[in-house]
Amino acid sequence: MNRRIAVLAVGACLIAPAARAQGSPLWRTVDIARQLHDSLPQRIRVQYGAGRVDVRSAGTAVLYDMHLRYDERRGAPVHRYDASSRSAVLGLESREGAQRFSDRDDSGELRLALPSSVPLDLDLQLGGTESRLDLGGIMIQSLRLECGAADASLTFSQPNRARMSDLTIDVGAADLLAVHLANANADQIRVHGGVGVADLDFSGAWTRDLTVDAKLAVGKLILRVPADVGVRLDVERIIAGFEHDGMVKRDDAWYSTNYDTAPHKLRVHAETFFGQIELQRGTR
Amino acid sequence: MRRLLAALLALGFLTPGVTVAQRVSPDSNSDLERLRRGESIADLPPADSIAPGARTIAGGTTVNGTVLARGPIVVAGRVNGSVVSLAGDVTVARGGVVTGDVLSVGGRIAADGVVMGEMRSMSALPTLLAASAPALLARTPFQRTMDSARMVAATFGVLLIVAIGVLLFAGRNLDEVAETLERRFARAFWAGLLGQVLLLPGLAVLVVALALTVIGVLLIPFAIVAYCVAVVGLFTLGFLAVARLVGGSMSRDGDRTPRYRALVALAVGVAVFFVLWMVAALLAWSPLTATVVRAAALAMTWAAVTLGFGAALLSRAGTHRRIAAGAPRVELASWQTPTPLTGVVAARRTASEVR
Repeated sequence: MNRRIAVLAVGACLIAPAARAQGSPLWRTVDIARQLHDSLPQRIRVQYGAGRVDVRSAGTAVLYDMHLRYDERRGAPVHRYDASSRSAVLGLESREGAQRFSDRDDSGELRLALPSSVPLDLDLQLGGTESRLDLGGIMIQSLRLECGAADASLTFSQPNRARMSDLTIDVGAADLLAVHLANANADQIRVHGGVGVADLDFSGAWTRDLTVDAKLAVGKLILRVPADVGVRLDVERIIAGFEHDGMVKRDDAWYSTNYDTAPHKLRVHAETFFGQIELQRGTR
Repeated sequence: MRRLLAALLALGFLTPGVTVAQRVSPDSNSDLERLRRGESIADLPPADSIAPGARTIAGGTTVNGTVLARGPIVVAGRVNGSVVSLAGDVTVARGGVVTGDVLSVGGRIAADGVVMGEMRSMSALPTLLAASAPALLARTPFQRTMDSARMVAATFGVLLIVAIGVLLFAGRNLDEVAETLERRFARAFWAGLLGQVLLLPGLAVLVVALALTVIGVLLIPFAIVAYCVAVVGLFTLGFLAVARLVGGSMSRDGDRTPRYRALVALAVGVAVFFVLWMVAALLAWSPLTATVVRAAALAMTWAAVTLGFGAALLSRAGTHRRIAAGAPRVELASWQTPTPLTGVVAARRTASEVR
């Protein structure tokens, strides 16, 4: 019996260091910030593969303030700033040869604060992340959001003080919740999705008419529009249901009854292959 | 004795912690190298000039080059370069200016003054520099072997679950494919080979045919998915039939129920095919040997899959019952006996034979 225990003990002594050294992640945290020295427009690209992402407006005068928690064996922080082109690339890039998907990613985290006083062209390339993006109060000229296979929540809690020329959202196999989209102050919004649910809430401060192009291959597309906004909905569907809340069909499109008299109009072109399109009057 | 063993165990688990701790706090030269290569900090002073303790750049003074300390740093003046604290906070007071980056390892940065570069506070200096990262990330032979073995075991487990599902829900089809394999062995192989060659042309013909019908265009995505599912299903059914035959010839459970016998035969058969893969996985520490064994395993698996696929095609996924039904049964029913009881043959039996 004692001999067996001795063998086990020796085995444990030999294996434990090797197992710990080889298998354990090397967690690191880093806070990276850059002061803001002028108010000229900037371009910021964020790339992040897996983990939790939180983006919001910064309280202080910084161009960016990023907090990263990452496994050093699998990724390295990215923080490049080119002063001549006024562009920054931030986030985490995978190391060559590192395994991409593992439960270790669950503890990874990116928290990013962006300035509220500088016009930004923002490009968010997020992979399999759980993203909470509150872009309220940030001056955004254009926004491109790419999400892979995870949940994404995009909120404009405050109106955008810059006019956004284009808001593009590409979602892979993820659930997207976009709230207060009217606060985005965008001319047009494009939402392209693969599989999942896209829940678009158009509440907020309406300053102009808005055009939306929403394409979802398989899944559910929910459009929530305030009652005082006129809606024109042009639907293309193949094997999909369509729930229209009090809409009237004229020509080839569906119109809300207040479309001609409404102060602001929302024109939606919605396409889905398999699933459902749902229009709800009112907000979340 | 037991106390000694417990101490040994504890030592075994504590030693790596100490090793790791030692690894993340190396000497000054290593720190400087990490700063230079990992954090792109230039103009670093020599390692022996880094004094422990706090450092202050007083207001009205200017320092050219990187300021480096192993304690907290306060900048009230001007630094034409970067400021790095290897163990402490960095404070850039109001009126203080840093033209480069500010970096704090294990501390915080407070900047009321001006920092032209970036401010980075980190828990530790990066250990995986760009140049050394591949070497550190490269898996050890032991790790490679364990990973390969785990992969093979997981695949075996999944296939076993699929086998049980097939046995439960498509048992008759499996029987029929196995029977076809026994009766038409050579033909099954050639059918399997031909089937593999015609897989892609078959899909192309299907898509073109659907496109020609105009209304069928909508069905093309579904047809592609259905085709792929059908092909994978045929391969799986065929391979399991081969595994069942192989396992059946090796297992000895004559007095059990047919379903139990079939299950054991399947498990043994699948295991037989995975033995070579597992051997190859366990030899992963020796790449050349592992490649040779893996090639043998691949050849064996391919032959089995081809045979099974052909049998599945010939028996139309086990729904074509005529192949087995048309063949003469060799097995005798249990109530039959080879000993003649009546007739001329029986009459000619000797007394000792009758006894």
